[in-house]
Amino acid sequence: MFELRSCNGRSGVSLVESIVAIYILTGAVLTVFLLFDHGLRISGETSRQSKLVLVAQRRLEEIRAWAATLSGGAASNFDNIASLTATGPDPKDGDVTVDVRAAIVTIFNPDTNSESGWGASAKTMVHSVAKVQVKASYGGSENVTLVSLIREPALTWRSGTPLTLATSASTVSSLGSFSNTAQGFSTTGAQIQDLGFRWHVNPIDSSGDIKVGHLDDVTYTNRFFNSWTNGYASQPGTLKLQAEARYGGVMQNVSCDVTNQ
Amino acid sequence: MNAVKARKTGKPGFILVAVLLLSLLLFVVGIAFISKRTTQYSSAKQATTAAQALSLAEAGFHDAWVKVAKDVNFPPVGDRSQGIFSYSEDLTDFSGTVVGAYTVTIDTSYDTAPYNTVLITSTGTVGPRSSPTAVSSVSGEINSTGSVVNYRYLEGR
Repeated sequence: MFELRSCNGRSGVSLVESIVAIYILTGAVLTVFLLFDHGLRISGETSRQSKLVLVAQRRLEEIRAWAATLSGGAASNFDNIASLTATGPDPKDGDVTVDVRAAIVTIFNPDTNSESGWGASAKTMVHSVAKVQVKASYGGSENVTLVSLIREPALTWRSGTPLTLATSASTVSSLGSFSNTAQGFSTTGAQIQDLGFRWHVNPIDSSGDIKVGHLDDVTYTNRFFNSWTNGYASQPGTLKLQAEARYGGVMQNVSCDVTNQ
Repeated sequence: MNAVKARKTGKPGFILVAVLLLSLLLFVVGIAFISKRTTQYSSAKQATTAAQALSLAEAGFHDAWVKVAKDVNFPPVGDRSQGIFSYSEDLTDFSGTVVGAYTVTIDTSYDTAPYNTVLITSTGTVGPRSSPTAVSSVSGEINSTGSVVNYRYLEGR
């Protein structure tokens, strides 16, 4: 390389060498300072992001727990879950703004793919699940949004008559039809919505067409006690229609008699 | 000190070498620092999508739980005889944007005495179903009283 010499001919550090060294060192220190500054900003964003996740998850779990409890009367908090829709600072982390949206939503049963094509006759559950959206943010674009579903809390059957069965007619003509609606009730006296019923006709060989409408109603076309000698010919008799449902793992049933004229 | 020694020994350009080495060291330290912070940031971002996937998995679990609890005909009869019933749903936020999906598998193999247990496994996914950015699963058993037991978080990614 070059050999730098001073004016008096002695070897050592020249002014040029010192200036170049200072220039390089300044550049290096400045670069490292910028790297550290950027790193610290990333670190801050990481910390804030983690905090937003924790706040959103905590609020979602709080809502889950809240929705599962009774609100003092017959209704559960779940029934009033839409009242949670609000925006405000988080009670524990005041610098975080939490935007909550909640509403009971309709879901298909068993699933959207199977039922969505059936239009109005699709099997749906209208009061069983709530959608909850929690958005935690610092007020700007930096935010975390969690969306989930919360089910209606489980109650228990009321004692005595947990199920009722209402029929449109107790006497039906041959090949006539009648509709029936079964309902279930919990200990709070409120109707258990969206119950699915399994329907039976006894005697079974007298059964006609059962068309289940929504989850809890059915239309039965009466063709019982038929004689096949000369086509359909009904005979007088009594038919027992039974509906059974399960809730909280417990099966219940209800039945009614219909007379064929 | 080395510079002074270099001056005394008369070796020119030593200070430049020393400064270059020092600059390199600082640069390496800076890169290492920012690299670590970037990794932490990526982890935090991944934790965010993992949390979203978990909330979707829990949504699927609640969806299936309420159907098992309320509908005696669920899962459908044909599938009940097979023992396994599975379905998937997209979940949207309140603006109608799809945030992800959940896939639920319901195992009714043990829904007979003396077990009377239905096993539900729900997997939440964020991003396209074919190549999700985060996956999380939960599972639980619904016993004969309709309660959930052995609810647990399965490994996510």
